[in-house]
Order: sequence, then structure tokens, then C-alpha cells
Amino acid sequence: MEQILRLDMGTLTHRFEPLPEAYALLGGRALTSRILCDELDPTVDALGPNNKLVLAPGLLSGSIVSSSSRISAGAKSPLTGGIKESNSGGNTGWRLAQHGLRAVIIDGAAPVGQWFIAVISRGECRLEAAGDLVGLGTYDTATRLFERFGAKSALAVIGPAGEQRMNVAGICNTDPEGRPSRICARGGMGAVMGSKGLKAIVVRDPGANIMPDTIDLPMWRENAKVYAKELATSPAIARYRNFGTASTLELVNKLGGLPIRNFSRGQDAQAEAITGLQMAETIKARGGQTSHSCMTGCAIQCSNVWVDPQGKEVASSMEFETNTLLGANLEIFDFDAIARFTKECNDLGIDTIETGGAMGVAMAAGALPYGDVAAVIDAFGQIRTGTVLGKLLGAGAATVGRVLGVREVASVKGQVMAAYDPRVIKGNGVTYATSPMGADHTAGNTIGAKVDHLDPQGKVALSRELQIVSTVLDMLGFCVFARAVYATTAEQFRGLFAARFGRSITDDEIRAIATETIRREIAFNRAAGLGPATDRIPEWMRTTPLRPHEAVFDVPDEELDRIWATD
Amino acid sequence: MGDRLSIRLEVYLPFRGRRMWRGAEEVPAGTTLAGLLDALALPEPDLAILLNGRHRPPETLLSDGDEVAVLRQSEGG
Repeated sequence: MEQILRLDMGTLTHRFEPLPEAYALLGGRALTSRILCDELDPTVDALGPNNKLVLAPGLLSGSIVSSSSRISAGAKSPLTGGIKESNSGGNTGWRLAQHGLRAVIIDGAAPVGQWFIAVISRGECRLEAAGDLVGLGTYDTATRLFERFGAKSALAVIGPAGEQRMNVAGICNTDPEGRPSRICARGGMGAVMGSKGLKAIVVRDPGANIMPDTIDLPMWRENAKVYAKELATSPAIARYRNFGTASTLELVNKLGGLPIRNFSRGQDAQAEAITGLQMAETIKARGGQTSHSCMTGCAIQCSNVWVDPQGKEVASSMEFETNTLLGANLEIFDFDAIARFTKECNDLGIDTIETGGAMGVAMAAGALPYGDVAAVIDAFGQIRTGTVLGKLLGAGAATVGRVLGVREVASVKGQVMAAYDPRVIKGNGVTYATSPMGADHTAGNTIGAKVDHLDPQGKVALSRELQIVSTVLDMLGFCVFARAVYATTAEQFRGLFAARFGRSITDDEIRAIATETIRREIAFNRAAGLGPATDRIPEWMRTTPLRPHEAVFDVPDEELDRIWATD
Repeated sequence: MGDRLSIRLEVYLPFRGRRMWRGAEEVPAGTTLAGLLDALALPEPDLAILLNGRHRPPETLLSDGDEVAVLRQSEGG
């Protein structure tokens, strides 16, 4: 029998509840958002005791089926002011599902200055004082917690940025080797966790390679086998194994939609230094890892481990969006520098995208110099110690723009765009504008479609379809890259569902749940005060052409407004 | 228009013995994007092919002076 664990940080109590029947078919984002919509006043202070942080693995999480145990973190976002789901790999989702937990709901807030950890295993939870961990980066925090609770535990921790309730703060989940480098990064979920006085969640090893209650194990194995074979033979998946997500840079640069110098150019020959090909060659030459599983059992292995010239590990993982926002966007075309920035972000527990966006805006204002690696490293130090500049950067790109008087901020609902300029990748512009998540490419990334991205025609329909499919995968707990085989293995996904729950489900039913989830999230946002005017790309991106195509975002507002109007 | 077109070709994967390849290319007039991709006989499937920085339909005819880029299809997560 699956359960929900409720933690009240105000009273320092907990209780396990049976999973309500109404939530039986919900997992991941569908469940975090449903719980928030059911239990939360949308007008609450995002950093106050009445906000709730919900962690939920996917419906099919908890086994070693490849890429199936992602974790969703949901709350009202201090960054966007609306509902948020932030999704991550790592082993937290896997371990929670192994313990029979469909969700953990964290409510209330500990007295200011008091910090705790929550230690979870099947049917048990206890809160322990965590004063010794305060101020530590995520790596030192993880080291101490693994020493106490065993290296096979999974951790969800916050760093100094989360303790300071910064909007850029995420929740860092540990990978199979224990790095706290898989982050529910977007939307300030780490700030919400920090506002509750919760430094870390420890999900203990169940002691055996158990998986959640499954009605028909032979059926589960049979479908898992077909899915695994499809993954193993997919050319798209092989590409991620060899080059990670980093080779997206070549494509987006060639399309002319790569954010460079605070989104002021879309293409730059210097970007050749930070391509996926360059990354793979350097990692191989230095003895790092070009392929790596971010969660136990993942066969896609898009993660990597960057090492220095002496072969010593610097950071995991170097991703396209990070390489762009903390690299090209700052006019830093140097992988060794970006790797140091990545490690800083992971240790501080912050979103590389929002932080890179915020630094880009600060550079546009002249508060930081473009292309200056030492200045960026210093800025990370200021975030860690909480200087005025550090806190400003930690508030996110939109706040930096307001304070420093920069109009050219590439954000929607206060959240900075990822590495696809919407003036060129117009389908992603539609996603940025219309997703209740704000400018979050993971809500519906259209770059994989072989369409003329500059043509506004058809981009609303494309974004809508990808937003629905992405929500389906988030709900099931699968990585977005499993989308490469989702169409050809839809029968196996249905089979896994039937094996786990003993009931059938159709594609239409799954899609209906996803669509209903998005509609509920939009209703939450409206009640929170985010009206239709917030479903827009910034005006400057409609009027300021982007080189080299001299393109502007020109999908009509009326089309954006109709995206969720029909089934 | 002559019998041959001069285009610029960029292949962002190993090709002709190099880690990546860029240069001028002559192709017969009437060559389409799909025809060019077939003629290149690249070893990887499911590639992105851009004409002057844009995805175009495979049946699009090439013109003198066009730039064709062949890249690995990929996305971030």
C-alpha cells in the first residue's frame, strides 16, 4: 500500500497517510501540482510557513528500469510567484518509491535559526537537529550524511543559497556515486526547503534491491526488457551516451539561436570552443567520463564527468544549458572555466541557468565584466557569503534587471530562459510564454523537431504537443530523453503501468491527466495573481532583432492565448 | 545556371578523415537537400541538415552559394 508522508516543520511532527484514491493515477508533476492545487491557498507567501514543498517520484519509479525514477519537487515558487514543478535525476526518487512513498509533503516552518534533517525509511521518519551542517556546501553536507547514514542512502540537500532563501536555490539530489549534482534547479525550490528549516532529506537504503509493490512482476520484466532493447538500439540515445546534451550547442549556434552576451547575439564562431565534440574529445584525452548514469540503472547515460588536465575530477555534469548560460551568455568560451562554475553552482545548490542569466544581466549593466572568469568566481563567493551583490544575483535575472536598470532580461514570469533564444527557436518561445512553469524549456522543448524554427506557423501546436508529452513523462517518472523511444514503446509503457497497478490505461487517458494537470496549474497561477499578461515573451524580444537572422519573436498573442482552449 | 552548383558544406561529425569538415563543394544542378545527404553517405542516422541556417524540406533544391550544415540532432534536458 503506497503512502504519503507529511512533515510539519512547525511542530516537528510527521505522519504517514494512505494514498488517497483520487491520487491513485498521479505521480511526479501531476501529483505535486494536484496536491498544491488541493491544499494550498495560491496567494500564500512562497517563503512563509503556509507554503508546502512536495516531493514526488513518478508513477513507475522505484525499479532499475532505465531512466524511470526522476523526482519532482513542487511548491509555490518564490521566483515566479506561481506554481512550480522542478524535475531531477539522482537517486532520491528511486529510494522514496522503494519505501512505498508516492509523495512527501513538507509544511510549516521551524523556528528561525533552527535547522533539521529528515531521515526516512519504510514506515519510519525522524527529524534530527542539523546545526552542524549549517553553512556547509552540498558536497561537505553529503559527505557527513553518508558517513552517518551509509553511502547507499539517497540525499536531497540544500546549500548556502537555499539556507539564504535565494530564488536561484535548488534541491540537490545525489547521483549513484554520491555527488549532490542532480538538481531540482528551477524556480527556487531550494529556497522553499530552506524557509522550512530543512537542510537535508536522507532516504535510507532499504537493504535489498526491492522495488515497489507490483501486481504482475513477469509482465513488468517482459515490458521492461522490450523498452531496454529499444533504448539500446536508438541512434538518438547513442548520441547522448557519446556527447551528452552538449552537442546541442553546435545545432543551436548554427540555427542562430544561441544566447550570447546576455541574449544580444545568436551565433558566434568562438562557440566552437565549447561544442559537444570538443567536450567529448577533451574528456577522453584527460581520462574523464563522457558517459555516466545520473541515476541507478540509467542506460541513456547523458551525464559526464569533467576532469582537469591532471585527470582530477572538477564537475559533473557539463550540460548544454549550463555551457551556454554560464559560458556563451557571459562571453566565456572556456570549458575549464565553465566546469569550475558548474562545481560552484552544485556546491552552493543553485540553478546554473538562472544564475548565468542573472550574471549576464549584471554584465549588461556593467556590474560585472563580460568574459572575466575571475570576476565570475568572485561573484560565486559573494553568493556564498551573502554580500549585497551576492544576494542580488541570488534573486535571479529579473530582479537584477529591475535593480540595475536593464530592460533586456530574457525572462517570463520572472524566470530566465534557457539556452534557446525564442526569436529563433519560436516553438520554445511558445513554451516559455504559455507553460505555467515560466520560461522553462523542460516543459516542452521543441528543438528536436526538424521544422523551420524561424517560421512562427505551427509552433503553438508543436509546443502544445511537447508540453503534454513532457508532462506525461514527468508524471510517469521518466527522463525526457526517453521520449526518443516513447512513441515506439507506448505499448510497453502501458504494459509497465498495468503490471505495476493491475489496471489498464490508454494513451488518451494518460494524456488527459497531463492536460488536466497543466490546466489546474494555470488556474492556480491565475488565482495567485499571474494573469494572461504574464503569458508573454518580453516586449523587447518582439522588437529587437537577433543577429544573424535579424529575427524577432512574432507568434501572435491571440495564438498563445488559444493554446489550451481546446482538448 | 550551369550544370554544377558551388555550395559551402559544413559537416559537424567525422567526415573525409577529419573530426569535422568544412569547405566548398560542387554538386550537380537539381540536387536536393535529401539528395545531397544521400550522396555524402554519412555513417550516422537521424541527422539535422540546415540550409542557410534553417531546417528546410528534404525536397528543397539547392542554389548556387547556399550553405548546408549537417549536425547531430540533440537537445538539452
